[in-house]
Amino acid sequence: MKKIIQNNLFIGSIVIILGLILFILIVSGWIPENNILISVCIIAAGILFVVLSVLQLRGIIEIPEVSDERILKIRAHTFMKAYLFSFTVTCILGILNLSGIFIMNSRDVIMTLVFTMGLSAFLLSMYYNRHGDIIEG
Amino acid sequence: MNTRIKEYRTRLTLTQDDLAKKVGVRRETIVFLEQGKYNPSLKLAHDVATTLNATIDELFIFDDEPETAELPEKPESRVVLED
Repeated sequence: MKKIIQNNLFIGSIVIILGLILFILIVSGWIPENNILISVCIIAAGILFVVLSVLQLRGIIEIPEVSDERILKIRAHTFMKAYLFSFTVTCILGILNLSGIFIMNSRDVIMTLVFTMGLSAFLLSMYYNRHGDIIEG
Repeated sequence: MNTRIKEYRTRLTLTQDDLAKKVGVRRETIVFLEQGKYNPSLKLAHDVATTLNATIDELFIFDDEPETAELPEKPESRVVLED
C-alpha cells in the first residue's frame, strides 16, 4: 500500500512540474494558446494529488486497503462500458462529420470524448456499486 | 440467489467485518453477499464456506433449487440374480 502512495506522490510531482513547464511556455509566448487557466488547473490537480498522498502517508487520511474482487469486477466492467459508449458517440460524430451535418474541430472531439467517457464511467460506477454487482440488460 | 451466510455467520458469532477480514474482502461485499445481490467467484464462495465451516451448497441457494436442501436418498440395493 505504501508503494502505491509513493507512486501517487511521484505522479503528483510530475504533474506539478508539467503544469509549471506549460505555465512558463504560455507566459513566455512559446505556445500560441494564451489560456493560463489550463496550466493552473494542472498545477492545482498535481498539488491536490501530492497533498492527499502525504496525508495518506502520515496516516491522517485512511483509505481502504482491501480492493476486493467485487470492486475490481465493477471497475473493469465500468471502463469497458464507458469505452464502448464513447466509441459509439465517436462513430456517430464521425458519421455526422462526414455527412457535413455537424462539423467539429479536434478540440471539440477531444473534449467530447473526455466528457462522455468520464461521465459514463462515473455514472455506471455509481449504479453498479449501488446494486452490488454488475447487471446485464 | 439466496444465501444462508448470515445464519451461519451469526451462529459463529462473527460480525460482517470479522468475516470480511477473514476472507479478505470489504464489508460491503459481505453485505451484498448476504442479500444475495452479489454473485461471487468460486474462490470467494469457497473461502466464505471454509470460514463458516460449511459447504458452498449449504450457503448458496439458487432460484431453481429448493431452499431446504435435503440429503439424497440412498440408492435402493439391487439383488443380482445369478444363474
